[in-house]
Amino acid sequence: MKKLIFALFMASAAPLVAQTEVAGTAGGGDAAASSPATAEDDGGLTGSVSDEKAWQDLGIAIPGFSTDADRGTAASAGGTAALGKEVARVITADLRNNGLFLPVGPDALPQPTYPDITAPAWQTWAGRNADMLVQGYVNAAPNGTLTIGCYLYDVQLQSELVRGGWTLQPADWRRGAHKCADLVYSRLSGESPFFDSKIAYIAETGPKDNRTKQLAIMDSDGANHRFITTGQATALTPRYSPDYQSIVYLSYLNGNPRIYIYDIAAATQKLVTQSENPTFAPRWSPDGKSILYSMAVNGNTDIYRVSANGGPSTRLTDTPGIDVGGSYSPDGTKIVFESDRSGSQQVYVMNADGTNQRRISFFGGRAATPEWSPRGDQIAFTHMVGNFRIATMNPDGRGLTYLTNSWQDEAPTWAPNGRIVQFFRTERNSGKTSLWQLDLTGRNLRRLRTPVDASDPAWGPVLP
Amino acid sequence: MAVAALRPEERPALAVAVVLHLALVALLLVQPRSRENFPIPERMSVSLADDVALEATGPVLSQNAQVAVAPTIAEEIAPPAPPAEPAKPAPPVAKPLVKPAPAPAVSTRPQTKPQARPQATPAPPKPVTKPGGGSRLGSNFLDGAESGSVDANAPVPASQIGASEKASLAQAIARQLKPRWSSPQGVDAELLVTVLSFNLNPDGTLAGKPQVVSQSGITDGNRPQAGRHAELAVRAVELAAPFDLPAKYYNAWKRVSAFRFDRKLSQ
Repeated sequence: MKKLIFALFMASAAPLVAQTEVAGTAGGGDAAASSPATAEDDGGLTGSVSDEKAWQDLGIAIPGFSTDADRGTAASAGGTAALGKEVARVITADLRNNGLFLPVGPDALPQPTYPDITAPAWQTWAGRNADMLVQGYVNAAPNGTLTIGCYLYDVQLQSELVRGGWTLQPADWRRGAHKCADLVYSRLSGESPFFDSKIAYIAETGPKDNRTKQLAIMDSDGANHRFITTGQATALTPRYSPDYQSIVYLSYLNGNPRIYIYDIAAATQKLVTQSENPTFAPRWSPDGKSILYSMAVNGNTDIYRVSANGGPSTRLTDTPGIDVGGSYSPDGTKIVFESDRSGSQQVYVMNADGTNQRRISFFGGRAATPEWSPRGDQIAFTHMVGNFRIATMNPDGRGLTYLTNSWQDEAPTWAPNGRIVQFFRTERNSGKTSLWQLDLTGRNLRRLRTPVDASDPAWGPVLP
Repeated sequence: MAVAALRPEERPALAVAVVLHLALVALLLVQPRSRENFPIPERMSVSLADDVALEATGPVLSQNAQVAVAPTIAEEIAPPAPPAEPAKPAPPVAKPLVKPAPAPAVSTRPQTKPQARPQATPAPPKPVTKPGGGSRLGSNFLDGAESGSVDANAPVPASQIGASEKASLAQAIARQLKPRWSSPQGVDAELLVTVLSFNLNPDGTLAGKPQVVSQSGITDGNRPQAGRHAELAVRAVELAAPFDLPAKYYNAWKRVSAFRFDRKLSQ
């Protein structure tokens, strides 16, 4: 009887036993699976830290540059000591306008002595809440040339990050300051330098319906401003040649739109191509040997290429409609341009010889004035859907990114490092135009001061 | 009557039936007693744990407490004791207990019996270099019983430093790095991640320079910032050192094998 009961009990319990066995093997499998994961790290501590602060500007102290001996120099009435302070002011202005930094200039800081330049007084700067320290010197040689040295220190680590030195003619002393600002900028941001460069633009004066448009050039910070043309003929779309020797631009001299190359040193200009037809939208090739332009023949506008020294032109596009504004990729193998062959303005890409033309902008609205980045990774253009906005995209037509959102921003051009876009903005009612700069991140929008209204900015490459 | 009505062969059958019924009643009466002995399962509490550690991380208390050692004060500071010559320091009582090696002046030579000392003191050359202190040998030394752990005041180590302790240590390091860490600005710079490894000394200072283990999230857009990103991460570690971390977990934080530096807002 009991045996029977026991047997019955066992019969009903057997599935339970089987179940626990299954669970046991499953647990064993888990343990085996998780053990390799723990064996993977070498036993050290792991963790992570994030930076959730808002982007913060880096504090940089820039005291006046020192000099070994206060000599007179053609660059400054006050001698090299006064010039040293002025150099520090220029660096401060460069870095402040950049938006990444919070520089403090020489007027609010103690002046270091000449031996301090290579051995900074750390306690002084650490107490001033400066992360970085820029020190330097200005020495004048007996023959008048200036030597400007520049040192960048990390105050908290008390270490030198980078140094540089340049020998310059007195007239070029601002370039020394720009070089130092470039050194600091590229070291602290990782980007290529761009302060030591020049900008050509169109200065506009006069009433809205009768504007005088002159060609003008200036340094990247607005200094050394100079008008090139008198304004008798309207000038448009200037572009610096890669060697800064000349500027190609469109002039309505004698009422006809023609492309001229203006030689800066010689102050002379010459026609690029002799033609009865209107020509416009000139661009340099990256090597400076040839020029792209557009020419309207019997109402059909196409893109042509011509040698910078003159000679026969090569026609690159042959479709009906308007093809304008060719811009070379930095390696010179491709050209991005604007065409209305599909019915409205859109951006197209073709090879440098005119083959393989294809549309890359499919964003709705119209897309115009494409400009290839000097780094080759982006194309800036004006996107027109209602307002005119500056936007960028990848060379394959993807990754549309709006940079601005204003009433009318147009004609983007690139800083030499390909990280900053420059464009001009037209105010809604007055028609006043001004130059603006913007990081590719969409931050740090700032206006470039010009003596008069300005449009069509064009940035040249960094000076050697 | 009724009996008379029965057939002769039914009588014994009836008697047998009556007896068997009585037996059945008796059996049923007896049975409940045995049933009371049936064990009622005890109430057990079940906790549903979804996270089970593979290894115990709780501290293990020392199994053997330290033997109490009575402090004894040395009468005099032991002289440097020329080791070679001493003739038979030999407290006779101690002899059977320990057979010291024939080479004299083994410094750990145990003094076993306190009462041997008055006899030993007249003998001037004292080979024992230890000036004072009680014996660490218990009275049960001969039985082979051990004398307990030597340092009972030392913090009792856990068998393993647990995951929660390690997580707290990592958070402590992150807390100290955070004010020093700022990522560079730029296009797509928020995608960059730098993983550093570094070693720490017991006082929290850096042992050597932090090493970059890996970087991820590099695109064409943020490639210029990648080097600067790693440099700023190293700078953050250098500025945050020395780290303020609990010394008893030094084994856990002496090497930080992979610390991620990134900029991820609200993630």
